[in-house]
Amino acid sequence: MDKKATILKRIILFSIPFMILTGVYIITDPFMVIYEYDDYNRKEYIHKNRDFVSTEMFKKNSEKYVYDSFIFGSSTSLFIPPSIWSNYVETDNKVFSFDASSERLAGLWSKVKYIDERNIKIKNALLVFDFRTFKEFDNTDPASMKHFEVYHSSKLDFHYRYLLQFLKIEFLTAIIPYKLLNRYLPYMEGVIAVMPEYYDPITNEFHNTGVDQLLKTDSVKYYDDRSDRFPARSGEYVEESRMSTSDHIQMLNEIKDILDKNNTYYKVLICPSYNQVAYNREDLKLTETVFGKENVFNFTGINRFTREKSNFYDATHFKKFVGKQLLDSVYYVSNQ
Amino acid sequence: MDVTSLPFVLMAIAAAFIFYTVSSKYKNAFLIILSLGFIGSFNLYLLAYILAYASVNYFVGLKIPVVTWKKSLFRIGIVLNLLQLIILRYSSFAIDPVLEVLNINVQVSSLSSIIVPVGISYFTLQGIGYLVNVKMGWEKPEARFPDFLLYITFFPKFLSGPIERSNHLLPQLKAFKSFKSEDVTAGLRLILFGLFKKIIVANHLATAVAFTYSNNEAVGGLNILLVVLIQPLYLYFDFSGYTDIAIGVAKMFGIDLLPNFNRPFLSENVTTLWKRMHMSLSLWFNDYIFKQTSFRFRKWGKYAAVFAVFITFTLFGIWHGAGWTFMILGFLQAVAINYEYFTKKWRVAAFSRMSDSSRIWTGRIFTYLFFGISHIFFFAPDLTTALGSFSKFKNLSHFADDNVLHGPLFFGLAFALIFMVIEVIQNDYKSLYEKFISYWSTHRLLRYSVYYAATFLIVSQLAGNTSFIYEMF
Repeated sequence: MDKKATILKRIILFSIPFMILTGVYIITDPFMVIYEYDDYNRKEYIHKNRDFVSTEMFKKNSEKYVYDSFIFGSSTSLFIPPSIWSNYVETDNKVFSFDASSERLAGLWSKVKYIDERNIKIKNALLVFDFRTFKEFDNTDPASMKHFEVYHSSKLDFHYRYLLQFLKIEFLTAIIPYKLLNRYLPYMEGVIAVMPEYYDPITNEFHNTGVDQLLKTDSVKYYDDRSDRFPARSGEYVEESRMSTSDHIQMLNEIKDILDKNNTYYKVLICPSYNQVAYNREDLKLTETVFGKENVFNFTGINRFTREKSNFYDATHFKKFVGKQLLDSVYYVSNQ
Repeated sequence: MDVTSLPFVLMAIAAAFIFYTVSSKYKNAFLIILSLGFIGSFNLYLLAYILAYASVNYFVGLKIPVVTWKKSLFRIGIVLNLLQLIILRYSSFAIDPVLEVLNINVQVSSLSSIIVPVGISYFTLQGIGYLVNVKMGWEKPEARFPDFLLYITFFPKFLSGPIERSNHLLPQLKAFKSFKSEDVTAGLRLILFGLFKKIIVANHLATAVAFTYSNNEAVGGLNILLVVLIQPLYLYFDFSGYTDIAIGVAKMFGIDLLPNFNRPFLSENVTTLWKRMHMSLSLWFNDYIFKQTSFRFRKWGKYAAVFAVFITFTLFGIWHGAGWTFMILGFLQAVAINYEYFTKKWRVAAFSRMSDSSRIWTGRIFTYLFFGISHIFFFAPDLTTALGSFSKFKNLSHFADDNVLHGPLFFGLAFALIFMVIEVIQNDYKSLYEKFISYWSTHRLLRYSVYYAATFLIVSQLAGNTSFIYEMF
């Protein structure tokens, strides 16, 4: 018994520094995933999990604001702001942008189901697809992990992965000096967020304030500094490879069933990207078959939206004025 | 449950302490519950399947010595073992194409997506080995089903071995296990080493290997050359890391699992390498395939051994998976071993003019390079990619970088080099190694500093993918 106690004591003593680090993580909640917050714009130096933040904001506000219109999609959907989209649909209530980083169809499907399970009526929906929508889904990367309540995944696993993210040497060696010196150093790139941005605490509308300011000050320098973010284009027709699977077909049908049940007025918008690679024909056909050709709008490939570099912040994120033009195309055509 | 996750390690440590508080009468029951819980965490169908599998082998083993038709019963047992392996592991390669030709619209391989047969290649060999031992009279059949069930399912070795022999593990399961602090500390040390090898070394080498095979059209000859040099280390640190964790966890429960590695890359020829690499598997094939085959064809003289080597290593390759690549991998090892067998005299004469160390190191380097080149057939996802990789050697000036030569690769290589230097000292400079060990064991501060640094590095790199190469078999 003595030997056992001695070994156990040694193990516990050995673990103390790691327990302290875990305690610091729980108390400080650097990624804002442990406690509930009124404003997720705090801790602006941290890259947050957009899926988690969007879901938490939705949970907190859905009763108060009775959202009935939703924009679903990845970060590309951030540039179709609720304040603009609300002019194209009939709604008396608030519009909510239910975005998530690197959103796949599984994330979008789980969100539509989640809203439906809570008996919230979806009057209008804009499904924003892009080149990632049908890509394989991996729910292990903390930056894009799904909210456990929406995706019905393990809460324990979610928090375990965030604890590991906190314990990563790259994170600790960036966040500790940053907090102590209140100074950003080049090696902190990718860990510490430097560009100011703001999300509306009611509609979740994104304001790309830092980048917009840079562009306003010197747009030539902005594009020169980021030339590596704009890949070379051949100018010829290039198509994505087919990515949809039988799981995707099932998810698309379930989304459609829920939207039909709610008599939702919906559109599917496939985002343009600077590389001008067209959406896969089979994937497009599948999307059109499920949602109806009249509701699917494909802006990928070589077109007026993808021609100019100045339409984009980088290869995949178009600017808000482009978002408005896309909405004009979608709803103008639909209302003809 | 992921073997390199904190929950697994913490659970294993906690379970070891609970194990020693449980009365000796219930110790095995406790281990069975743990093991079945571990298997159930992958898939409940697999749990039910493994119970059925163990029951069949238990009853066949029990009946073989007492029935008059023992030969037939033994054959039934072996066929059942192989049949379930073929259905659940090789049907997409061996059964589905045949059914398609016969216009039968059934996909047998879909069964494996229901049962998810993790560990099947390992527990099948254990089941077959047990039946052979009983049939040959090398051991008595196990009378107690719980002990036999534990032999098949014991959780530290269930996923990827070591492939245990019934006459090695079963007696240990029956022995009374009292708490020994040496066992627990030795186990914890091995777990730490294993995690370090896997997370700090193997995971950091993995990116370059994965990049090369997934971008095979874009990469150049230099990429393939780099991968030939890296992939043996990647495979070794990945698998020996897992093995250390498995042996360490078992050690905490007072159970010694069979060793799997004995400094394989210090072998001077391929024949020796396979006695020191994945030893529990290669020795299994040696005892149950090679010896049996060469005995059966003993009339052929020395060609019986040649034939037996080809049979053994081709099956050895197929054991790794359904596909031509694994078959070729095994065949190449057989060619090398037979070549070494037939040219031994000539080689000894040719190399006798060299100094001992030059001879040894020449042998080691050539063996390592052969292993690296032949394992293109192990890592390449298909035959086209494997052959395509060989054709890249024609243009050794082309190198597609795309972050291959990046920090993590050098980080992993640096630690791999440290491990390899220690192995060389342990193997070639025994007195120096003993001095090092004596210094290590008498300097507690140094020891704990290294343990802390290693633990911190492991914990700081735990985020991300942690699956093992040999988990897929």
